[in-house]
Amino acid sequence: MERMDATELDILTEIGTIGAGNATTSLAVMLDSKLSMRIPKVSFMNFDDFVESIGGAENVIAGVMSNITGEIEGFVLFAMDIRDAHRLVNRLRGIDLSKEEMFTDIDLSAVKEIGNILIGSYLSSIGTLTGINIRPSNPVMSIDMAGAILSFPAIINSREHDEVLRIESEFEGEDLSIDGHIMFIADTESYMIIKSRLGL
Amino acid sequence: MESVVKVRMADYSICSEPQKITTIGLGSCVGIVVYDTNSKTCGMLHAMLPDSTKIRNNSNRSKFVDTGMEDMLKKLEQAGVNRKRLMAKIAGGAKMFDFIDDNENTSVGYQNVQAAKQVLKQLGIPLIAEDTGKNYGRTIVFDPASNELQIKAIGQEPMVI
Repeated sequence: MERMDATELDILTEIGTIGAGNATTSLAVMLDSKLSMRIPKVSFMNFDDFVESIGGAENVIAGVMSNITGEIEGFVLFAMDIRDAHRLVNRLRGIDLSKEEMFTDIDLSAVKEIGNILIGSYLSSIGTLTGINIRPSNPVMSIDMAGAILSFPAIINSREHDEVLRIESEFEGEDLSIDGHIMFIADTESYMIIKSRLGL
Repeated sequence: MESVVKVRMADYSICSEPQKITTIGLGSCVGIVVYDTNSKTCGMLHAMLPDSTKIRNNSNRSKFVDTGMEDMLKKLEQAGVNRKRLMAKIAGGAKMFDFIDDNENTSVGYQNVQAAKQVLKQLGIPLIAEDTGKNYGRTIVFDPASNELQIKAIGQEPMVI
């Protein structure tokens, strides 16, 4: 198990705070609603705990994910509980918030675009902060069980490791009941690169 | 005293009637069930990767189809199961996301399913049924009393194979 000292933990928490802070600011503008952020959770996790990390492996979520390549490798995932995704889309469309009908194609592309904007803004602030060259892929989206969605980055990491570095930022609406997760997922090598670029 | 044994990711477990066995949220991972209709005993493996010989870090044996199956069969034999009587059902191996450089035949889900079929063939265990591929996650429950594998997926009708 990889160990982090208090300084490293603080700095990774700060990365999560700044990345997600910028990302949620852009979402708050789109929604015309206040969003507040919790202190990010930073840890190395085994796969089984990792796939349980958004409300349990069987919880249905909408997830938008980018694969990161460049100096570091990993994933950034924007995820919401399916009911929260409905409220988000309904708010954007200006319709009854409690409607939970099937997503239309327009709804789905709205969720994907929101994910795209949040992920882009998250990564660009991390890039600026660390000076690391980060290239995100086009985002992909899935509405499915959290375990099935999270198993994908877990499998990619599992080729070399038995745990993943997860920086999880969570935000919630103040006047709108939505809860969102932005997750940075990387392997041990990428963690070492981030550390060395930050002079740790 | 019905109880359901839960199999974690990169792990396996065995059980006998009247217990059932389940694993939750199989995405690109593959779930392999082997069962003996005589003793009503079964094992379930939730494997992440196809082949331990292609990976340097292969100490976690249940992570792989090949070594995970080997260990699970040993455990079943210790429980008195004759491996010649085993039959198999598999599920999972979805292609969860459409990343550009990841087509159907190179996706890890597809490779996991192919590896499962190959290992079963090598072991001489007949594959009775499968629900694999596509692009969604699955929760599976096997009942060794009826040999039925229930499959639940979001937005799909539940099915039994």
